[in-house]
Amino acid sequence: MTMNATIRYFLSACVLAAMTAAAAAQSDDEARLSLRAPAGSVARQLDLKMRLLRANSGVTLAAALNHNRHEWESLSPDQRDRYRREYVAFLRESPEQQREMIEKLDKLIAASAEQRADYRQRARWLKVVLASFTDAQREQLKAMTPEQRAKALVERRDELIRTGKLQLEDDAPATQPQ
Amino acid sequence: MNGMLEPSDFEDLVAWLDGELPEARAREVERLVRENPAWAQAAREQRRLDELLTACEAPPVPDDLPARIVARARGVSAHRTIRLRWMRVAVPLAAAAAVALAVMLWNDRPTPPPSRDGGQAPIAAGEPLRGLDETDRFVVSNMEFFRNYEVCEVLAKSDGLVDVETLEAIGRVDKARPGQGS
Repeated sequence: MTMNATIRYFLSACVLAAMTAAAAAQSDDEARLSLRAPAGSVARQLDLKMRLLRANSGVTLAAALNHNRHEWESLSPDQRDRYRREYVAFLRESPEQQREMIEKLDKLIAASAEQRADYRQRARWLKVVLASFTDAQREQLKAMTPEQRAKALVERRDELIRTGKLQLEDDAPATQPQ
Repeated sequence: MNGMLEPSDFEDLVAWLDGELPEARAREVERLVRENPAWAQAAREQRRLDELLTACEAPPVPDDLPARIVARARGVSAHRTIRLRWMRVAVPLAAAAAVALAVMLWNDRPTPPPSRDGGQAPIAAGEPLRGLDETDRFVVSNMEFFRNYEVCEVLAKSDGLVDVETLEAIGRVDKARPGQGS
């Protein structure tokens, strides 16, 4: 093989490698693009809101992210997958629903870490319990005071547990109450 | 033409006509030309060709032809030298650039999530989101939200049936019922 031919083959291999790497990177980007919160979307506003909350609480962004990353690393694969599924579910919500969910976070941030841990545990069975009510029953619940409603919800929860339709879970993802 | 003779015989014939054959072979070729019709025909054709070429007048050679040839040769040589020098620099540079580009693209490729299997990834100081893909990056950036995602979801989707007051009231109801917990 002549020197020119060797150089040609070498350059061709280099350019091919570069094109392959570029194509791989591009295909990865395209694959992830579908799971990206669009710029300017309500989901993206969550980022801003979190930053403002941190700023108001006197925690630097870097410190908060480091804390979150350490927490993330301490989670089990199942717990991480749960968060990932919630992220995908959140992206699929309507902007109105996303906005409402973010607004609800404000009230939770005001609660103590222990209260939030309790709320998380209750939220899991509440999804099942609320789905068990008919529209008429839901209207009746709306007319009740929080105390009355709480009692009705707990009674329905116990009933579902007795009939094997509900099983209480531990507060798995919340291994570090915040 | 020489179609009647073998190539080696034809070469000997031309060499004999030019007086370049050894004496023994020259005598033998002379005999063949004299006795063999094919050799005789070939010899006649070659002599006729020599006469035609000799009769042609060559154009006069310009006086400056040697100088022009030398100048042209030097120009070609200089151009070729410059091109070769350029190639010697450009080819390795192009190769190095291609390799560097491939390495950079490879290094800049999105890093897969480091620990979906539960493994621990080292966290570089000041780079808490490094090594995370888009999904994990968003979750980690907004961990407070996703830690409480289910609560936010119930509060936002219960159509007003559940609010924070109700969540608190559930706690009080449960506390009032020993053996039950939420």
